[in-house]
Amino acid sequence: MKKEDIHFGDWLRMFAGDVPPGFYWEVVLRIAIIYLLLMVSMRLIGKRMASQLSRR
Amino acid sequence: MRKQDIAAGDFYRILFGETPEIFLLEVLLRTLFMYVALLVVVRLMGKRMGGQLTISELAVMVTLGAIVSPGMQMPQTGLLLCLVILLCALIFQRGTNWLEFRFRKFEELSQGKNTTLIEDGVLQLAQMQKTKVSRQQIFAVLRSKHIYNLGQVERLYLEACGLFSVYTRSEPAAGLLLFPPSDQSVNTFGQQSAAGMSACANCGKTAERTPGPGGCPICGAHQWGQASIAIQEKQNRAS
Repeated sequence: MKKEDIHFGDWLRMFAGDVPPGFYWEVVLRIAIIYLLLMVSMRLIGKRMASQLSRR
Repeated sequence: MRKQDIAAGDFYRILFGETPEIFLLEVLLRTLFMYVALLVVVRLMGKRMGGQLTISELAVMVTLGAIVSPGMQMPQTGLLLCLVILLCALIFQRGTNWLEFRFRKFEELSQGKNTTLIEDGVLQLAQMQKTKVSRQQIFAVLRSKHIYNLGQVERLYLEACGLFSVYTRSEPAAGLLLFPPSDQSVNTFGQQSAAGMSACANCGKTAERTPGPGGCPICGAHQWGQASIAIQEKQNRAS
């Protein structure tokens, strides 16, 4: 995005952003995958990850 | 931004990036919006988010920061998009919480089960290997709980959330001392040696006299030390 295109009070850009409406569906799918990935990796890292006993 | 446009010492670029000065005002509005949205979502996620009891709470806490930051500073990012992502995080977190509450099997899958690391003053070496907790880490945990002798420990659990819970025996039995090997001078602190008792240096199993060629009946190790009994403190400290 170029500097000249950024105007104050461009509420459509501020609230909807510079993406097509279809991206909103994509983002739900993305976060579902990331959430699952994060949960599985946290689980595999092991119990002490949550309480952070050692500095590793 | 093209490589040729990046000149060293371009203070406008360093301070404002690729945005006009007025974008700073928009950043203020954006930050205000995202901050309120974040507060609302964290509040809705429930009381325990502050304490971060489980791995999923920690995972969500880490992601929340990453979710809100583009909304605060990237000009091309829409705030509604960030709001959708925040709401998704909220729904997934509350959804897994509900499933964990409703189905025991799901909780075991998502959070794991607790492990017994010490049973009747004996280190459970197989469980320690499974959870990758070293002997010195266990000793450090016990020392921080004012326990200086394995014989005082009835059970030590590693909870699924990563916390250690300890149950002490009502009467201290003979066991292995927990002082660091580097500090010899502290060895007798609050302890008396148990006459004729030996403790396995590997797992803490105690035995009358040093056993014969078979080694330790629990772990098969051959290194034995003097077993000690903790002198019971005056009952001036609750818990």
